Amino acid sequence: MTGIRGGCIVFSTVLLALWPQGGALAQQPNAADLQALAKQMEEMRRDYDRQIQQMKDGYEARMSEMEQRLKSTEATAAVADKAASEAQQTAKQAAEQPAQVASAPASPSSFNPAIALILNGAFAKMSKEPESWSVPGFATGDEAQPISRGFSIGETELDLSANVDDKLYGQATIAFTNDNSLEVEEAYIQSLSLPYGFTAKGGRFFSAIGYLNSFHAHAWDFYDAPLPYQVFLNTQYNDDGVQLRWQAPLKTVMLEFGGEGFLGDSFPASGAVNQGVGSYSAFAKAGGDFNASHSWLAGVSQLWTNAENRSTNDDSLLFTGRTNMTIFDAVYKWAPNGDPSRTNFKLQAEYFLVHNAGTYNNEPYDGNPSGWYVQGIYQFAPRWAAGFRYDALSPTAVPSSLEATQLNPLGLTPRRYSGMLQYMTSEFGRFRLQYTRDDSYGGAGGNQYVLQYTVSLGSHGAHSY
Amino acid sequence: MKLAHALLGAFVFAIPIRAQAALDIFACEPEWASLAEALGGDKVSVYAATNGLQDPHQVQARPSLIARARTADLVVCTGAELETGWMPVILRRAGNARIQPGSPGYFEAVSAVRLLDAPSRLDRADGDVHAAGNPHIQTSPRNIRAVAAALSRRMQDLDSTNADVYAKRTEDFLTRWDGATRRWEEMARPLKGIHIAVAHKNWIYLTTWLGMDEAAALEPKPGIPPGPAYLSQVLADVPRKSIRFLIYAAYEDARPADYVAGQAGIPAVPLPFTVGGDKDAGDLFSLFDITIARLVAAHAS
Repeated sequence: MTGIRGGCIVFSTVLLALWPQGGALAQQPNAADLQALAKQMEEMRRDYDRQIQQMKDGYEARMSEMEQRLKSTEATAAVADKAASEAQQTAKQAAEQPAQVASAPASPSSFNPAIALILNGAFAKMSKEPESWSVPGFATGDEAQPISRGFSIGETELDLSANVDDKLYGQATIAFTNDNSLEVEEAYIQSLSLPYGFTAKGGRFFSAIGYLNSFHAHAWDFYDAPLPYQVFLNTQYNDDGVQLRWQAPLKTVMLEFGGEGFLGDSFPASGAVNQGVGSYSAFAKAGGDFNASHSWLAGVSQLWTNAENRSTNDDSLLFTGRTNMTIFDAVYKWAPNGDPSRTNFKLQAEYFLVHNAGTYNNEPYDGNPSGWYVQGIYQFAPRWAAGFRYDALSPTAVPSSLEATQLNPLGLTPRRYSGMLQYMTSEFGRFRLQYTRDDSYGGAGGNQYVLQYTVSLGSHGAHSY
Repeated sequence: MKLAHALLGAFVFAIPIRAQAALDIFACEPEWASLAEALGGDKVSVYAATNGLQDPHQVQARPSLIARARTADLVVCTGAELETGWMPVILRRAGNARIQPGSPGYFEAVSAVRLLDAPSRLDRADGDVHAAGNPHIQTSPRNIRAVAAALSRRMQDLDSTNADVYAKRTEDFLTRWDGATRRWEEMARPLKGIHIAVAHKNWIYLTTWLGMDEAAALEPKPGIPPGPAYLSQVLADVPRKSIRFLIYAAYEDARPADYVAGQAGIPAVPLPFTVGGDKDAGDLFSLFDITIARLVAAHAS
């Protein structure tokens, strides 16, 4: 403003200085003339004054008009500014809202199942030959022995899962074993929409008995399964069948009951007897929180199996009869304020009570062996965990007719002590060193050192408790 | 047969519980529990599956959560894979058809907002990335507003007898919320354009809302802990990018943030991140009151 006004004043001063000069310099000076000149000048001055006043008025009018216009422009600008900021606000809000059109590109592959590939690798140094593994007093299945010496990749596991539709979920786990054979570990469908808390499952799956049985090997805390799982369930019990579970609507505590029926062609069952429904199970599980940091899960399960000429690791022994077992399991977990990411602790234990009744090679056999393990895993730093496990078996006396076989416990109590240290590169990668003092076979004092990696590629699988 | 009787008994016993209850809401995170309570009042009973001091990525699928999901009429989760490590197990174990994804009883908060930070490529070498975008949407009140409106509609659909109550309460909530949002924006005006550092990349919605520049993060990649070389880079960035202070969430380990801030001579500001992340952050309003007050105080210091 002052700039414009200042400029006007300078301009009018210059005009004032130039305007009078033209006619006045031509006159000759005498008294009358001077008088007339003075009068003329006086008139001119008055004239000039009037003109100047007019000019000044004109300028001021124009200036005030300009000021007025400037003010109104400013006001308009402010309005525009406000409108612009409002528009910006709206745009920002709009940007934060989802567009009505789908933002993700819909490609046919979006419907592909979630895929996870589990890779393993291990190096094992063992003082006892793992190929000769056989626990005195127990005739076991074909998958129970420890991993082989030296380098191996164990099982490479492919998991595929997706909702089939709004009513069904499907999952398959295909294992590529170390010796290049293919094994369908799980392939099942599961209901999503049954009423009243029921869930049904059908296909091939890991039975829900016990605690560890339904976990895939890559989720175990040690490279091998505890002794009772190895000798009584051939590591894990999976078979073709159906399952029905029911969750009680208790809100504050989880209480679940379930039952399963299986073909009965998977150790300890054999021969798919009873017209192809050779095994049954029933289980009850309960769990809850003590508070935000401490939680628990406990269960009791029963498995009934029938066997017809069940083959064992002792080629000369075939079992026909019934093998039933009761499993008690308990898990306690600590995570400070429920957040296990920095530090956490897990204590788990299971007890197996087994009843065998039938014949080995037509010789009557009745035995009630048992087995148990307890293990604790402590994650002491965000990527580090250490664990300890003790597992043991209590064999049963052997009838004299079978004394020369694998079933003779030789007066031993098979047991192991294991310790492990693991480092996780992330949620998806893990290196683990495990040491086991193995007194389960071949006399006392076996040493096992296993260095192992397990990684998971692809989709982020959810972890069971 | 005893088992069958027990089953039948528990089953018959169970039916009356469902009939008389208010709308049973299972909220994956405390911010949505607080919002559902604000919108539903005494017509809803809300359970928060996690508390304000838990990392929602890192929750175990505990039996207690399965028990709560079993009876829920409505599950309110963030979505965008935030709960991918535990929620799928709970949903499959709960035996509750009402809350399965795709059902009216399954609500994802991210369905109401547009996500920022969606990665242009998906590679685990980039750390803990979320394909759909950054899921920590509760750090902006504008997102809370959008989720409130969408959640209210869902509650009205599910519980039509109380629809009027929900609509009324929502209108009231949004009026108060808009007023509070204007107040926060006014208070936070000096923060616009300043440069700050974050401990973990979970503040994008807060910084975008307030116009702050996230000039450095303590993690080179989400979920990947920093090495010494990276940390010295961050320390060098503080004066070079004129970083004013460092923020971190209450559930995160304070030690790295305190260490770096101490070395760099800037304040480390713990923010509640969600309802319950601070003893005074009891609801969504106090959550933002505290957040803005701490930011403004850190800026003024």
